[in-house]
Amino acid sequence: MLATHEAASDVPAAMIATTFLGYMGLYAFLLAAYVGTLYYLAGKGRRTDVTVEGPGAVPVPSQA
Amino acid sequence: MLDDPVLLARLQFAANITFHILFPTITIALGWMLLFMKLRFTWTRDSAWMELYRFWVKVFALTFSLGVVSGIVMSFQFGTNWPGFMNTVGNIAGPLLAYEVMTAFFLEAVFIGVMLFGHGRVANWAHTIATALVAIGTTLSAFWIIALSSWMHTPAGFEMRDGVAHATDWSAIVFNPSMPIRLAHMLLASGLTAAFLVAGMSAWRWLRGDRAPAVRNGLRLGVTVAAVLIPVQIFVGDMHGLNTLEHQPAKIAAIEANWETGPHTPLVLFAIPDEAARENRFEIGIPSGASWILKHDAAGVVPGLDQFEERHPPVSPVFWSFRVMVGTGMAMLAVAWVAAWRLWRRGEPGTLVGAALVAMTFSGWVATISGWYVTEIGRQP
Amino acid sequence: MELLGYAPALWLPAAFAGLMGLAILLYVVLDGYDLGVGLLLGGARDEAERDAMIAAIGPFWDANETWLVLATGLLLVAFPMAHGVILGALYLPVALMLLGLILRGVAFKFRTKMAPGSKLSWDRAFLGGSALAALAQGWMLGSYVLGFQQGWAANLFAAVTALGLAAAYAFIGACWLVVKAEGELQRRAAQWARSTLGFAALGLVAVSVATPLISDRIFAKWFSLPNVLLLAPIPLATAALLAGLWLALGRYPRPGDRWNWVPFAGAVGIFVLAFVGLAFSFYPYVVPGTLTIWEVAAAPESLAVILTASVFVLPMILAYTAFSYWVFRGKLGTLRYE
Repeated sequence: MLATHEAASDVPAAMIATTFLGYMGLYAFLLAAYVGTLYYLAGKGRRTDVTVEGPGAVPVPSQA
Repeated sequence: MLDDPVLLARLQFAANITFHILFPTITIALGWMLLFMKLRFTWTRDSAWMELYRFWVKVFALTFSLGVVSGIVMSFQFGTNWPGFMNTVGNIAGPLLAYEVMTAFFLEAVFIGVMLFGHGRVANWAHTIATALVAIGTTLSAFWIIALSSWMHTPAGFEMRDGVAHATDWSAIVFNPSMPIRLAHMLLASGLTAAFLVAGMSAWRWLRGDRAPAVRNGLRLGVTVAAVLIPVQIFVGDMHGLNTLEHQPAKIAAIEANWETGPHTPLVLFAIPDEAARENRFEIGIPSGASWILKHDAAGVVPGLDQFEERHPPVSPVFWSFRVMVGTGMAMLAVAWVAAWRLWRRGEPGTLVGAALVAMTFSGWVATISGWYVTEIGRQP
Repeated sequence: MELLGYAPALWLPAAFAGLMGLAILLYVVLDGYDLGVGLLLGGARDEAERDAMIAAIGPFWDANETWLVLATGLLLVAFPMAHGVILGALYLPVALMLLGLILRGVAFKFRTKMAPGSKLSWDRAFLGGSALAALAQGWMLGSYVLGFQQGWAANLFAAVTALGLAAAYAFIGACWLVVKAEGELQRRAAQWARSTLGFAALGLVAVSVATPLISDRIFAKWFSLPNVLLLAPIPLATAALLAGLWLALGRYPRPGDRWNWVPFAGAVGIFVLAFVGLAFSFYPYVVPGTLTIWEVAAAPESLAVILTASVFVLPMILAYTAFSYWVFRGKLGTLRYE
């Protein structure tokens, strides 16, 4: 009923291109920072664990 | 390419929406999982649940704020990139967006403050209620945005006057034909994304030798939710496909890369769709498969792209996105069930299953984004 | 339609202009103070001070920013054509503001979660993002006041309002810190408030002088009789508040930390007066001098649907926002959640 090109604005293409590249760069950086932070936060848990159990806390296959 | 404003505006909006959708997909379900952890702690007084809550509430806060800032960008881009859209359907889209802001955004934004910082300042029950309100807020927000999105696919309850849409029946607009199934599909997708995130991160900690009870709880919670939701999602996805066949047959034809209408349509597993020649190369398919899935009858007549010449969506992106989504879904099913079985029999995942869970940590993102591409590219032009 | 009473196409757009004005005012005051605290981060001496400053806005900023979403949302839904025109004309500053808001929003969360070594970088991102957002908003204000004129004079004016609004945000942020901070930080916050006050006043004067000069209509509105007498309290009260705060801030913090809310209340008063003055100048135009609210309003049925909801929902939003400020009343120390 409304095709996409009919809804577009008349802002110059160069302006959209510049902001588009800016957003893409920022998003790529943020995504990397996000995933990096998740693993950093998860990794912190192990450090406290190690200090409690001693440095030898390696996976021990246990049969339950 | 860089001098076509329409293409650029479309790319920019697509990039934004892709980036934005990553985060609400997690927070909608993670909010409810946090509430579950909080309630388990309240009932059992087992500090492992609170420890798990404390870890995931940080992830939630981070995810939430990324969702908020990318959402602000989208609220501006509706006007800056698509003024024509609002001029035509603003009378419908406007109220739906306004309801989202007023009923959902403020609720989550105010109570996330209490949820994050309120410990020690409010009673435990008040903090639990704040957690619940944030979960309700994120879900309400999904409700309104899916209502708008599915109205754009299957419009109802309006009339066109002078080229502008005017609302005639709001409940028909909100509960338009594809809305309930689409909402269910999205909420389940959110549940699976959060479940695999929780399971995958917990498995990663477990593989690194972190045997804290909180890690075990997280592993069990994530795997259980994933194993329960994935068959439901496959069922709902099939219903969504039938719903789409009824309302947007061109999309289904593109998904199946089915160029010709007819009975005994094969289910194409692999092919390289060729738009110029209007045929598939290297096609590998199951005879009558598509007829059986879509019509539940091997001789069912399935509409092909020949019915929609010049008016059908680009075939390759839709075809491939759909296969990525379904493939991810199948991998989710396999990993979730094997992991659930291992956890149930042995109480721990083992190295191989643990590694599989780690590999699947962000599988929900892959499935959700490819799913959105199927539905949104399939809406074009 | 009968339910809507007399001539809904006349009063509904006016009601929405009022709602939108309220949302913008709340945004400028609320996000103004937390953007301002972000700007003042540049004056912090060490990490502990930065932690205390960020704790003072921690539980509030998410909700504060939501008023911006509501304001643009209302502009979009109630005056869709104006939304396109305004945001099209302000495309670049809007993009820069969004960039700033993204940066500060994520820096705020990342700073406590990443490795300790990267905290300073995130704090700089928070400061930079706040500055970018505040300056871009001030630029948009100046550009809007001049009716989106181009040219070096218009750009110069926009640069002045950009600095003026940033100073005003820093000022209200410093006043917020007078309420929420303790000890040495509180003492310095009072000094910051005093030193930013002058620049904020300069920006205010620039806008007040330019607005009537740029448009005969606005000039006539302010300087015809009896308006000139009826409206005199607005500039007079603003001037009195500015002078009074400048004198009072020299003696803050008070013994026993009494009256610590007064500078912030005064700052809110100045923001409200300035906003009322601007709103009076431009009403009923939504795009200055070109489009009135009635020319660009959405269909009355749709506006009525939103208004019905806002009558019930906005008081609830205000109530639970008040609840959140009550929960986090008093000093916040180094509030954190981990």
